[in-house]
Amino acid sequence: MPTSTFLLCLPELYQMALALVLFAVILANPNQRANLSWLPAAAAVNIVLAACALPLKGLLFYDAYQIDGLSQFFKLAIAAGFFITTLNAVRQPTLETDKRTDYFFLLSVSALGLMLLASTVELVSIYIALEASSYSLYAIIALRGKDRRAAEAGIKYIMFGAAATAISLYGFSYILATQHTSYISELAAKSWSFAEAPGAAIGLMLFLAGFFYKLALFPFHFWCPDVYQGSSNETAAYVATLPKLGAVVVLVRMAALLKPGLEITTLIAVFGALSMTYGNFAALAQKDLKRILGYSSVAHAGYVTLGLVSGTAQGLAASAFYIVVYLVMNLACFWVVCRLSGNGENLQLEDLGGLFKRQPFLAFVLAVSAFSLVGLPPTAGFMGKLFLITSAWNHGYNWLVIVAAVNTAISIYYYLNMVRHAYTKESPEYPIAAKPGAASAVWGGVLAAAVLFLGVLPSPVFQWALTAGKQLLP
Amino acid sequence: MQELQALSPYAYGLYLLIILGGSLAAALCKNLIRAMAGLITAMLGAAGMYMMLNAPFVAMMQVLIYVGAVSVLIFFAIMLTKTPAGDSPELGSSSKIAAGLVVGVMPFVFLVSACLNYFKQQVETPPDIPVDQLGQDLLTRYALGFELISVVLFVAMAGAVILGFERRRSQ
Repeated sequence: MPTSTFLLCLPELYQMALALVLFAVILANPNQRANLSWLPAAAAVNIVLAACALPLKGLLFYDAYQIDGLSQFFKLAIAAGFFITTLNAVRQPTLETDKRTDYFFLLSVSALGLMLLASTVELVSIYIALEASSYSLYAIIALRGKDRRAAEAGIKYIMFGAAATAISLYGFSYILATQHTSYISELAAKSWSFAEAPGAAIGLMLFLAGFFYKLALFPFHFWCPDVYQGSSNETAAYVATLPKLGAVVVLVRMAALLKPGLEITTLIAVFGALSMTYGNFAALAQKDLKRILGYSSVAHAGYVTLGLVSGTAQGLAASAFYIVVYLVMNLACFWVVCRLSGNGENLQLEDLGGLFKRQPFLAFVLAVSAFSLVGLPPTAGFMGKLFLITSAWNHGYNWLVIVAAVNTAISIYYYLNMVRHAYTKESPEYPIAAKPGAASAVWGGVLAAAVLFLGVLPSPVFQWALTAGKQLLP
Repeated sequence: MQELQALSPYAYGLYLLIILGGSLAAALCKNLIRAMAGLITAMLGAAGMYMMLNAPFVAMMQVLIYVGAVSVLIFFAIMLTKTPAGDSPELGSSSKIAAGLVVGVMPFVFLVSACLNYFKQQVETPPDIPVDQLGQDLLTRYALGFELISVVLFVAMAGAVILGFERRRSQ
């Protein structure tokens, strides 16, 4: 396709320009009272750009940067998620006014890092793109007024993150020492079985650890509930959703190297099974809404592995589709949490009491996202799980499918418990102050509609994911 | 040359000891300045490892950048931050420390045995790679990573400034 190289990576360039404009705004306003209401609109432009860039293909930077179906699919999802998070965070009660521009600058660089992560096909670049997206998160997690919990969450995220990326880099050295290349296209031709290339197999597992950490998969999940609880609601909404897109896109690319039955694949399946089970059981006992959502994302990380282990294009597509569904339903859920918490405090389950009478529309959005998180029809969560389970069945990991189905049943309790509190319980004695305006109801409605749309008519989005998957595994 | 080759396992062991000792000091010393001295020792040991790999240029850069510049930067950072008020929190109970040791030592044992079993030395002496080829690779095959590092450094600095300013104002 004779397109200029600039046009090929237009969404990333636009995102970078956005970050630079925000940086200029920081420099131009030393007292930091800049008006940022234009930001969501500017972020929305990138959704259009990313949508236009969907069919592009190309290889840039000496074949280290690939524009293909998978990367464009994820870039569109990242652009959409970034738009919703900026919209969500523009009025953030716990963010000091003089830190507002800094916050959005870091947020946009983080999204830029994730977009780059979607396209890089060379291990060093992948690693550095991951770092670019994480470094900005390390800073924004701690930005929650003068809250001590946020400082604790920030330190936990940095320490565990540094350890995970060190493991990742160490694994990379194993891969380089045994396979002598860092390009995924060249790695695809090599053997990854433990019997033939033990060093490479161990190395790849260690390298993937850094991405399991971002995804909060079982042995690397411990930061997740603490960080969600400690960071502000709006930051948690970002940390819970977009970085996982970046992790999954790399895992999908790397899973194309693997076949069912390999030691690494089985280990990923075991991690997935433990992750769902642990996440769901731990969530049963939680009272803090963000902790519930934290353990819920540990469980969902487990579901995503279903698509990674099957070694088929359908499986990879199902994983990609599921993480997009996860993005939408979690954004919807966090949207309700952020709107209800007028002063930016953490919400407890009891605070949802009587929500149906106070805010019937938000209660509806919460119900839709909770049904979707469980995986009940006609929501997107159901279709996502259906694609995952059908793709994984009969590829050697039927036990994982059964574990996933059992786990869905367990998770019904705590997800629908939120709905039960919202619809049947009485208001708490001192209901938390919340006055969501018309605009917030509209966007909450859009998110709920997206969840329902992806559940009723998933095929347009899933077809894109499937095309992307087939490019990886023809 | 042959005698020098025979010495290499001892040199390797020496560098390994320097790295291990330095990192243990960095991790265990209560005094930050002493911990930093340990870190610098470990980085010097790593420079020695690069020499063993026949990469003198990387070894020089390790000494110049890490031992020289980065450690000075960290010293400045230690100087400029105020020490936290109050006592440092106690370490957990002895059972927690034991559990931590087990968790820490297990991957170490596993990885060391993996290294010893699965990695065999394939070349007698590592090839001598000239500096201009390093530069060419950095600007061709690894150009993207090379450029992205600047973004990472930029964000790291911006994030540190944003968090650092907050700390100074609240005192």
